Amino acid sequence: MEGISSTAAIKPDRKTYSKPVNFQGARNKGILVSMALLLTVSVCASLCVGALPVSFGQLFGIIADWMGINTAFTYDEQQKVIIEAIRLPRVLLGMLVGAGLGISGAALQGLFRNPLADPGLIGITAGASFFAVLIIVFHASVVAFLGTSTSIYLISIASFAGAMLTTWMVYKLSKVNGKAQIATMLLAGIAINAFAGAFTGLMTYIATDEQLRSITFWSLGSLGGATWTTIQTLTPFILITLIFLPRMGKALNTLALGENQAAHLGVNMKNMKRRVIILSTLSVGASVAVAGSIGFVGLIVPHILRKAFGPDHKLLLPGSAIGGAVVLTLSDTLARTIVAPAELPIGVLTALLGTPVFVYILIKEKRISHD
Amino acid sequence: MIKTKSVSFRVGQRYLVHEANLEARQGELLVIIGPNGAGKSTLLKLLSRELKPSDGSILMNGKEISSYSNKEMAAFRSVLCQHNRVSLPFAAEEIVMMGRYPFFGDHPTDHDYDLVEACLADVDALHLKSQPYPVLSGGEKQRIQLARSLAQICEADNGILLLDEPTTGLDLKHQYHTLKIAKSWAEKGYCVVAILHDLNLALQFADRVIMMKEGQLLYNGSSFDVLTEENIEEVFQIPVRIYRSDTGAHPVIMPVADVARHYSL
Repeated sequence: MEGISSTAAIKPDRKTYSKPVNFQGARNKGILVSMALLLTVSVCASLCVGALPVSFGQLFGIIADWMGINTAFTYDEQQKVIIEAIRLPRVLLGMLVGAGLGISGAALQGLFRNPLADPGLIGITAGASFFAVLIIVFHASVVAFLGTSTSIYLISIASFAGAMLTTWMVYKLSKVNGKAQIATMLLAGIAINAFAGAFTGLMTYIATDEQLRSITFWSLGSLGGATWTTIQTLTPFILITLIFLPRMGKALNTLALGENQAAHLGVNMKNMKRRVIILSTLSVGASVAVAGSIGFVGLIVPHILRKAFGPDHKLLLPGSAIGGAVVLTLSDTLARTIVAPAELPIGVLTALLGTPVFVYILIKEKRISHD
Repeated sequence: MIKTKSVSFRVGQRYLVHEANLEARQGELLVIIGPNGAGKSTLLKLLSRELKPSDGSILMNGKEISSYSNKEMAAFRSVLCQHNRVSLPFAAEEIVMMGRYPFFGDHPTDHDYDLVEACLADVDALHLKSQPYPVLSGGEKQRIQLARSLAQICEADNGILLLDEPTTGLDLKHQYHTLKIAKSWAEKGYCVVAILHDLNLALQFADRVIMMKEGQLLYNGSSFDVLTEENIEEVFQIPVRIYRSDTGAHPVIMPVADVARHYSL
């Protein structure tokens, strides 16, 4: 018994005990900077590609010109106009929507402790769309006295409310004995998707032709509506999310230990849940309002990042924002060039690319739960 | 320091803990023992605020525990739960680092890394540092979680450590090792409360033992006063003998030899 209680056996091995280096922060920063570079390249590429090609040099010349610098790069005035009025707002819209969907997906997956908690799958997007469609159809009666300039804000706020309501409902429904259950969560998502879908269908039935076009746009998702006004409307919603959601990283990490343990580690659970739901639905709602339902970005991007760099939300949240922006910028470039001069709805494209990934996660999850 | 004043916890008409009065002091390892369903875990959950008492009050370091915020509480009290599932494949090191989360902003400092390494070394798990938590064995997971609990309060004044069956799933060496850690942290001045099933471990390491049965704290005192043949038989309903050796080593508690026949097992 003396031998067992001796401390000699538990002294750390000198060879493995090295002075730790604070490299986590540096590593995270490195990854984020590389991703930001990737985003810059994607944005430039997206600005250059299109019916009227612009070379990198010409793009550089145009950008320099904005800043009042004259360069040797010459370009047509037409190119400048297209970049300014059409491509730049569209690329910016893609970045904002992608960043919002990416970071919200990552945060919701952390909150539900489930990699399948995508805003589209669990019905948040459907809830937001439903509210948006409501506003479109009853546009005349609701908006008339507020003035038309407020209508896009109104749609944004309505879809935010719709998104929040559905998230709250799914969260409440999916909790069994204080734990979010995957099956219940997905079933709740199906129920809400069906319900919101039915009501949206009902709305299309009573809608006018013009409203019908807007509604179709919602159900497919498109960045085609990008103008500087939409950018202005969307920016505050997404910025709030991008500024405040990454601060929830530590709290979401501790949630992986379970709600009780997170509380023991000083996390105020009620507060934290409320914040994550409000912040993520803020950008999902606003994104749906201006770009319709674009699925799977919030699912794929965090999934790939978790696979590549581990589950740490301190990296995952900002990473998913940048990654979402990259994916949506590139997808939109593809969507508007692949069948040019026509245009593929971007929601269709992300669904085409996203479904295989979704199925892959499902199969892997199944294998893990069988262990 | 923990002090409870007639704390009860009731589900419907049934008391899981009934008017518990206990005091756990700094510098002392208090061990709670009792048969299954005696209310040990419920009592510990009341102390860790996982459950709210139906009646009575619990003071920690002189203040009612409900008056602390989670963050204030986390600064001096850590909890090792019985079941530790982690839903994401964090590296063992990051799990331990979570114990430091209440103390830094966005990124850990070098000092936090030092403490994490020290705590990992303390539980003999430094070699598991970069392993993903889900691939570890049950006992290894338990040690990582212990390291996390230690990391949380390793710099606290009047720190309190609550351990719910910390030896479950551990091999012989690490059972002893875990109790040695609990004991040495008590000696460092921490207030340590642990639920144990192994009466011999309790006898060997506890400064004080509380014996529970059906929600009541039946006996409360030094390990030698509480862990007697009579008390154990009364509470656990199995006759035992306590053997003392001449060499001065610890006494050993053993069920009596013919217990199998006695209970026709």
